[in-house]
Amino acid sequence: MRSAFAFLLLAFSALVMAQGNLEVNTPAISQVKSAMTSRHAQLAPHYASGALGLARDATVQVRDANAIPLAQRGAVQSAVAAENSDRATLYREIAKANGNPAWEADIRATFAQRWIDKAQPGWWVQNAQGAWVKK
Amino acid sequence: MKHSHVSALAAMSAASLLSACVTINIYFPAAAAEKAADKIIDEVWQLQKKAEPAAPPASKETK
Amino acid sequence: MQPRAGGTVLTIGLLRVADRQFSDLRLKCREFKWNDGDLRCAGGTLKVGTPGVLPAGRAGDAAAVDFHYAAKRKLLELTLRDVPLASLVGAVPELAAWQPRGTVSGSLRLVGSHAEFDLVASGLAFANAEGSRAAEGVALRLTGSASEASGAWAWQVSVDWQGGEAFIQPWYLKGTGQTLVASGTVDVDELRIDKARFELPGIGTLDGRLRLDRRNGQLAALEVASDRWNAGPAFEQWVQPLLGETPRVRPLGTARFAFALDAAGPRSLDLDLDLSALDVGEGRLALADLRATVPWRSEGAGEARITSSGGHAGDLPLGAFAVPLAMEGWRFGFDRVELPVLDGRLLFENFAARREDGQWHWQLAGALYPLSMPLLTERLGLPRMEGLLSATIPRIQYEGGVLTLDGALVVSVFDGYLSAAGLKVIDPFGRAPRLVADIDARHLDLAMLTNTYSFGSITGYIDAEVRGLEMLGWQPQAFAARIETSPGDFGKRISQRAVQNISSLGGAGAGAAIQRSFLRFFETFGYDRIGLSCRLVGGVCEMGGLAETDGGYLMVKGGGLPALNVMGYNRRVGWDELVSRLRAIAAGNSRPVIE
Repeated sequence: MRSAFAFLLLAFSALVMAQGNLEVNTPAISQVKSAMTSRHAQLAPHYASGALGLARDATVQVRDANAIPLAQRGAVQSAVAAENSDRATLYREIAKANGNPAWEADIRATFAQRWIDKAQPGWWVQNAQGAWVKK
Repeated sequence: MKHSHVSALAAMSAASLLSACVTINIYFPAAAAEKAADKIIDEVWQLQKKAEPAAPPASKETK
Repeated sequence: MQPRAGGTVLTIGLLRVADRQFSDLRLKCREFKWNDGDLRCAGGTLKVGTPGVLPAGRAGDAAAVDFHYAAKRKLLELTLRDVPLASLVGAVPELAAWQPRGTVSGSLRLVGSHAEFDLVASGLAFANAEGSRAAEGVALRLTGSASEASGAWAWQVSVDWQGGEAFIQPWYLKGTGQTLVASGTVDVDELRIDKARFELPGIGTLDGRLRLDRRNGQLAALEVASDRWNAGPAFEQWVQPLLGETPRVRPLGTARFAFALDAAGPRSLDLDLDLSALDVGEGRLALADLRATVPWRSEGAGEARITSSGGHAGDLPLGAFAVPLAMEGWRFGFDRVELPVLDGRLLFENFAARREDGQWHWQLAGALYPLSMPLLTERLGLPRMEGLLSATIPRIQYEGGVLTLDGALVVSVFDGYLSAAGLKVIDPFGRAPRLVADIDARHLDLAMLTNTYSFGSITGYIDAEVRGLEMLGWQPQAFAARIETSPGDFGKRISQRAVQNISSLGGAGAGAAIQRSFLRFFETFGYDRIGLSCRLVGGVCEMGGLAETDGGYLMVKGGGLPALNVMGYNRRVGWDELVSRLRAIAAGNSRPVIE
């Protein structure tokens, strides 16, 4: 009897968990995430300067290349390209890890909103109309 | 003792089967996705859990 | 011309230089002399364009000039002193988008249809709107001359770049005394550079010729040839920026190249590489004495030769090799290349590559001749393994961004073999290569395998199969794997330590049970079968064994005396955790996990 109760409780909590969490701990996701984390140090000053902005399609965009010192400009542009390729992999892999590759677009849209919401004051983000605004 | 250990394991595996069923879902779990996104963004941007923002200063009503 | 208080204003309605027109020039002079068609103006200011119409008065900025015009001799002399470049925007409206800053000094002289100039720019800065081309603090000297004859101008120019920096996507350059000397002609139809020489300090020189069709803006012909360039700085400055976020490549030595292209595309490339060392990704790959001679023609055959005295790939030493590459247009191939690796050899055969419609297709066969495992494992920092490693690769082909293995890659190892079938690598040269394969292993000698790791010893043989292996960026993503004792009659003993380690994978207390029971008096146990499975999904390994039992699964089925069953209870083990447990076992400090 007690074990039957424990079973029900566990089954219920597992059900709640399943609805409450998406799987984001696959090796591919971890790898992409760690590449993005180490790249962030390079990109962060350029979000602050307004050279880079967070676009509504969940990518990073160069919105004012002239705000990047000449010596860093090429490297920052390569980093942005690599970041966007990693982000695309991230969205695709989360959808796949949760058994629903068709969710990729929804996951991208969710991330787009959350990147923008979590951006620091002073960073530039793209609003729903596609215009750049400073947070 | 041993018995309850076993049944807990059985329950877990059954539960994981159940959860496998639950994630095959036509509807996009928007809230879960948002939570997952927040977790990843916090990690990538190394955002610490910030202390709760201070309560806004009590507004003075001026009439 | 209107005399005015404090000076004279001269208005030129239209000035035509080459095929460019300047309208509405106003010259205001402090000192003005006019004598029989000879006109002199000293300490003047020049305004170009219509003030008030041009943006914010910048374009109409005054410029300090001396002006001399002699009608009879068709002579025009102009001297500029620290003229702000912004003031030229009025004269050359195309410049407005570049937001030029800085000043220019120097002289311009026009006699009949011959012009000469000697200009020094300082603090020069510009940027286009996209930021893909920009310069800051540039100091340079520009001298040259041009003569017109029947509609065509013959010109020569030299540029001496003394300081400042520039970004021309994706290249970043610093002015360190680079010079350009060029000459050519220009008419309505065509721009020709008959001769141009760049001197790049620290790198070398580059000679070039060019023809540009001005009617359609297309390059009609381009030829460049370098002298012996210093390969290190040349690669760093000119090639690495083209590669984006990739491992750094550091060549040490010289490179000489020449190439030609016309409207139809590349015509020829000659490359002579003479490197004493090449390093990729800070020691990930290193080659010594790398020499390459590549005489490529878009039409016609040739043979390239690439040789090296060896080096290392990761921790593996590579021996000397030579690649004789046959080339015919966009087709390349070789019959056989041998690369010594450790005490074995990697053989590449029947390589054929071609480029069609901008896409590369290639194929290759190969083999690995026996390599001794003790040496290999020592080099890789792994526990010592016995035996030999060899492999055959029937055919690899690359088409449409996918690397496909036809047939099976067979690796002989641990007295048995391992075969990979259906092997595909999608986007192998991209940022996240994706690999899929099915792997089968037969008759692996467990004694050889387990003795190497401080796993404890198991005698006997196992078979393994890995179905639907999928790796992304070389990390496993999904597979269904099974290990099971091979069929056949052979001795099967398992040591106490191995029992503990196996149970730590299954995460249950068989080991603990041994500690407490009389079984601890035995060093080894007999077994009938060992079996373990893992289905990796979403970063979690779903474990299983030979059979389901009450609440767990059977991993080792006992047999003989004394017999011992080992059970696993953990159904789901995180992949990362499983890997770290295996690592701990390999490092010899595992404790059974009792949960």
